Amino acid sequence: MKVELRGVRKSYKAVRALDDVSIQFEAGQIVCLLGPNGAGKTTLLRCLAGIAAPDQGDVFFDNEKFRRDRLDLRSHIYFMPDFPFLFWEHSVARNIAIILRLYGADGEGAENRVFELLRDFDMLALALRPVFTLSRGQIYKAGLTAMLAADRDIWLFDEPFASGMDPQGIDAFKRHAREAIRRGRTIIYSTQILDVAERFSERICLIHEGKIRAYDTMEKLRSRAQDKDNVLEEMFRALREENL
Amino acid sequence: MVWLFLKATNDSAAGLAVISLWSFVGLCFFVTSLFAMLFSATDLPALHLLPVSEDVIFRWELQKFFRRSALPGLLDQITGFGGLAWYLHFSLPQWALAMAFAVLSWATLMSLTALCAARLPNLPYQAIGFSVIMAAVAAFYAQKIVGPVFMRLFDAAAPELNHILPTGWVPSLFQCAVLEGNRLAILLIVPVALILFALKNSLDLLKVRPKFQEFAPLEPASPVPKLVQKAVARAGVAAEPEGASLADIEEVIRSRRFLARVPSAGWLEKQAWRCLSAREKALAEFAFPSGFRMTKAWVIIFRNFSIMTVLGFAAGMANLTLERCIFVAGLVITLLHGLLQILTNGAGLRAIFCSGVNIPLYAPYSIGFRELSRTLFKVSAIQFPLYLAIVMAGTQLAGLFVGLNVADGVSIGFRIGSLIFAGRFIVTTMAFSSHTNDSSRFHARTLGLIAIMLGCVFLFLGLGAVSVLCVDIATPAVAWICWFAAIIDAYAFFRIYGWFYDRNYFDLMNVPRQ
Repeated sequence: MKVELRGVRKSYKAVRALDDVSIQFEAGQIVCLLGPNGAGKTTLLRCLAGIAAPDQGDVFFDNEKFRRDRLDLRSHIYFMPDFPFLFWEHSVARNIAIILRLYGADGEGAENRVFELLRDFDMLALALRPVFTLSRGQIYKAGLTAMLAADRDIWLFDEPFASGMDPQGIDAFKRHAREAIRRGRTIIYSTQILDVAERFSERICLIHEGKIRAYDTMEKLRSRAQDKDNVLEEMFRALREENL
Repeated sequence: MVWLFLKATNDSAAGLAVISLWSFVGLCFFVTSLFAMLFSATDLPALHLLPVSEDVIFRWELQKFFRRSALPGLLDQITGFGGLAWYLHFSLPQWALAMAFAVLSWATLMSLTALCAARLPNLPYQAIGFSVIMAAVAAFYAQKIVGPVFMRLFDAAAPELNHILPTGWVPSLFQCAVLEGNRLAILLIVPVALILFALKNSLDLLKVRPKFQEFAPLEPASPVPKLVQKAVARAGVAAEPEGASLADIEEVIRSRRFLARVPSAGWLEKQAWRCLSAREKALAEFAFPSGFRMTKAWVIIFRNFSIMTVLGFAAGMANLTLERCIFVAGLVITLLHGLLQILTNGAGLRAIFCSGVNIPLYAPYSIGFRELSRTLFKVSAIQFPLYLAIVMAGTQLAGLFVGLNVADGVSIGFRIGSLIFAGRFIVTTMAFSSHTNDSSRFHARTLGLIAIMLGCVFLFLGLGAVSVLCVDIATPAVAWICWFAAIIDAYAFFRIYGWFYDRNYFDLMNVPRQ
């Protein structure tokens, strides 16, 4: 599913979080939203998820204009904020069941999918525990399990690598994400960790002060950079110098 | 307000009842505010990182509450008692006494706030406060039409109100000490003293309640803490069985038992499930993850109503005032309980604090405004006949005191019940609106939305008040027309808001107030 923003502007009082952003994300790739704090990454993700309303411009999915009542479009998207939205007093398994039913993904085979995911994320032993007895990383893994089990077309993540997940969880997440890409899913995530951005993403979207400053594959960005070994660091340095 | 009521009724009890009611609404909001300040203030995580004890943080938050809420409360009391003194042309010593009672009333209110927060934390304070305000707004808005009837009813019930409401005990003492009144009311000094003395104990209780806690991983083998067990029991979900092995958990997952819905225990719950489509069932499960709670709640409501009726009539043989007190208290309790039962929105609409903003729980998921509202509406509709029965029975009882005949009682009861049901459209819309920033920006469309929303709500309240209270003034036909118009207005309000919502005219998030 193709995702597109056309001339999107979004302000929070005096701060312009997104400034005339036009960008297109093709299906079947992992896109990293990279940028300093307050660059507009989370706002962009929230606009895609329908949580933030653009002041101007529109969001399109497969050339269809996004509206909150277009549930046919919304059912293809799954947004995972930096803290999963779960029912804390209920168990991990119950939360997964509620979410699967919400997306109509509770049919035959859901049990095996959920079992495998829980095992992959080391969550099986905690599956019947109420969410609020878990650590931050475990809660994130619970949300992630629900998301992966629902398996929508577009996966939106806000800072998944700053979620408190352990290395095993991060590894499992990367593995499942790469498998999903092969199935044609689109993954858009934000991060501040340059190493992860470089190795895990197919395309990098550099945002600064609400504007898209670069959007390309790592190879192309590297070919344009002077310091070929530290492409992203160089871009960040340039942005910083621009501000000084 | 006190002045207006005194002018309209020429009865000091009515003026004091205004103070009692005002304080009661204040009490509801003070308890909510105290809770928010002590247990869910957004600065708590930051404060807990400081090298200070929990007692110090508790004191800081208490002081914050005091500055923001308590001092305006004192001003309210002084204004209320001052208005009374002014209208009744008090002498200087009487003025001094009025001010002393204002301070006493305020101190009692603060102590009651702490007492309610410590001992009765689960009451729906905000809903009760808003209900009283809504009723007052409706009466004020339609005062030209319903004013005389409302004033007559209020005047008749004023002494009972002052005796029933704990916030009316100091005004009752004031009436007894300074004005003409029931001398037996002096006995109210005992509960007032007890409330004041309970302050320290209430604060101690609040201090030991669990507060903000950093997430800490529990060892998988450790037993589930008591706090969690309580929450899980309250949610009605089975906690992890003692010593559940990996094999047991695997069996729960593989056998699809984890996908099983919370069983519908009662008859009403079963009917509700039967009325919902597959999609609505998924939404209902999201809104009420612990399942519906209807049958048991309605058994309790009808039981309370029956007890109140029997007690009221029994008391009426001995004392007419006592009979009225029991009926007023009983009706308020049962009708509010029923109201909460049919207007509940469930857990799916609550907000989660995330990256500096509050976002409603439903927002990241593929859930539409119309479809979730329709589900909530259906859940209410299942319970509506029971609420209508209670309202109609209540109207008949109230009719005994105000001289309504049975037919009028039935028709007014039907109109009240159905208007409250139509209020579902407004309540649902407000629930959606409460965690969005639909009214926080000065765009033309935002102002338009606010104007439409306020207009529709006031029109609903006004039309509703006319259709229910204007039996003396308007013809039945006018009452029914107003009733119908109010229902259409509530629906229009819902649809207009939905129109803005669906077109992304505002964010589904807002910045916390603190």
